[in-house]
Formats: sequence, structure tokens, C-alpha cells
Amino acid sequence: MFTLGILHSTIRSEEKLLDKEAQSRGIKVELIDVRNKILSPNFNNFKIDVALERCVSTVQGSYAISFLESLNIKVINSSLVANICQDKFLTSLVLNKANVNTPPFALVFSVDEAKEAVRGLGGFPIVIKPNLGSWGRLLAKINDDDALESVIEHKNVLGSPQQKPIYIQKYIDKPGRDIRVFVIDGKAICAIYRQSNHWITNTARGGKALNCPLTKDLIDISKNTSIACGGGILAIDVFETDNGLSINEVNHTMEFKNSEIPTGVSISGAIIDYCIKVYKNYD
Amino acid sequence: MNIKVICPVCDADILLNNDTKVSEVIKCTECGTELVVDKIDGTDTLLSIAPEVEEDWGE
Repeated sequence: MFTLGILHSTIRSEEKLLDKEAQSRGIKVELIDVRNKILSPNFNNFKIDVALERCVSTVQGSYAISFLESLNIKVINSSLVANICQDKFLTSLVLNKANVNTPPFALVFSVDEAKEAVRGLGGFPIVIKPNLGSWGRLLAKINDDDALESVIEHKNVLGSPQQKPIYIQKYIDKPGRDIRVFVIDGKAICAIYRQSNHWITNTARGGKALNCPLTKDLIDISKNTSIACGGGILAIDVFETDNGLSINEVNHTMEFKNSEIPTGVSISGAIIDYCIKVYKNYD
Repeated sequence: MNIKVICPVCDADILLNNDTKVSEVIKCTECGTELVVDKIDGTDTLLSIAPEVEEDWGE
């Protein structure tokens, strides 16, 4: 067998599940806290065959992937996938280019362009999201020009440089839920409804996870989304709209602890099986 | 065997499960503070206050 490096920062239940599943398959696991590493060719002490990137910090994970790839160590997910999925604007761009249905979007740098973009997207309501961010944090549903001006001013004055580009997405009226599909190597393995009375349905914000049957439409759009984003291990967030399914976001270091029980699928086991497959094909 | 450690905030006794990992976040049952496991080594096991969620944290 081989040594799998699980790159992490804070250890979550997910990393413990992955560790357990890997060990049960006879894989040697090295838990690597990237915060304690020096990423330099002069300090190369990574004794692993394949890496699974699971850092809760996107920035730290991204640098760790790039460093290991420079040493010709295969990392799941790759820097290509991570760079696309960690940035909502880049994700929208690749989906749009691949003709995968996704809500209308725009990126602007000022209030005047934001107002013009909103008109071009069909008017209010719209949602402003941080390009880089997760767990439903710092999302703003905007219903009029006054709120738009206010939110952009706050972002410009109080936000980090990452907050200054304004990513705008047309608001999609959901039926009290959205869908999260777990996709490995282009294949949808299971899905959950994230049910909530709030327009933000993230389970981190209280959304309830219920099993969602995999339909042909879900399977097809998941496959096309995976191809557009570079493959690997993805959690794809899907809206149900009058015009069919629409891809909201794609996550490359997904959390799944609340999804294994409702779906009855060992997502952690499937991830480790994919790591084995990658190792065998790469060796 | 479970390891007993002291909460660095309120001095309460905390029992770590056998499968606890370094870098895992746990919650003190007495004061509710989120703590991170810095080191697991018998009586030399160390906890500290967990870092706040950063802007780039997530999935």
C-alpha cells in the first residue's frame, strides 16, 4: 500500500472519518498540519505518495497544494480545481463557458457599475457574495439601490482587499431548499436537500440535511460541472428553478459529516477509494 | 485510555476521547470555550484557546 498525507489545519470530524476509512483499507496515513510546515524545496520532509488536501483555511490549503505539486506529489484536489472552486467568479466563468446552467452573475469594482450590472441581470433582488468565502458567511441579499450602495461602501471601507471586487449573482427564489451533490471523478455518489426557511440554506447556518434521490438531470449536470471545474472530489450546490437545475457554487474541500447518515453513503469511504485509484494510476 | 487535561480558561477537568487528534477543536463542558489540542502526550497533553474563524475558512 501507500502513504496518504492528509493536509489539514484544524481537524474536523471529516478528517477523522477519512483517517479511519484509510486505515481500515490498510493505507498508512500521515496527518500533516500545514501550519507547522515550511514550504520550501530546502525543507522537503514530506514522505508521502499522495496528498488529500483538507485544510479549513483555503489560502493555506492552496499554497500547500502548489508546493506539493512542484515536488511531483499528486494532490487531491489539484491546484487547477482548487483555484477555480475557491473563487466564485472563476467558478461562474468556467460553468458559463462550458454551457452549464448557472445563475446570471457579474463582477464589478464600483457602485455605478454595480447598479448597471443589476439592471443587466434583470433587476433586484440580487445577492452579493465574497469571492472567497464559505459557510454562508457575509452573503447579502440586496433588494434596492439604497442597500446596494450601503453594502458596497461597507465592503470598501471595512473589507480586506479580497472583499473589494463585488461578485453579484441574480437571486434565485428557492422552494425552501437547495441540493448538494457529492461528486467524485465526475460521478454523483449521493445528494442531500438542504432545507431551511432562511434563504441561506448552508448546514453551517442551520439548514437541515435530507436525502435527495439522484435523478438523471442531477447526474448529468454534476458530470458536466465536474468536467468544467477539472474533476476530483467536489460538492456541487444546485438550485431547482423553473428553467431546470442551476449550479450555484462548487466546493473542493467539502464537509460531509451531516450527509452520510441521511444518504446512507460512506462519503469518506468513497473519497479514500478515489485516493487509492489516483495512486494506482499515478504510480 | 481517556486522557484528563485541565481547561486553560476555567481549570475544569476535561476528558479527551481515545480518538482525539492533535489540531482538533473541542469544547470545554464547563465554560464552553472552544479549545484546540496542541499536544497529546499523557500528562504532558496541552490545550489552548482555539483560533477564531478566519475569512478564508470553509469548504
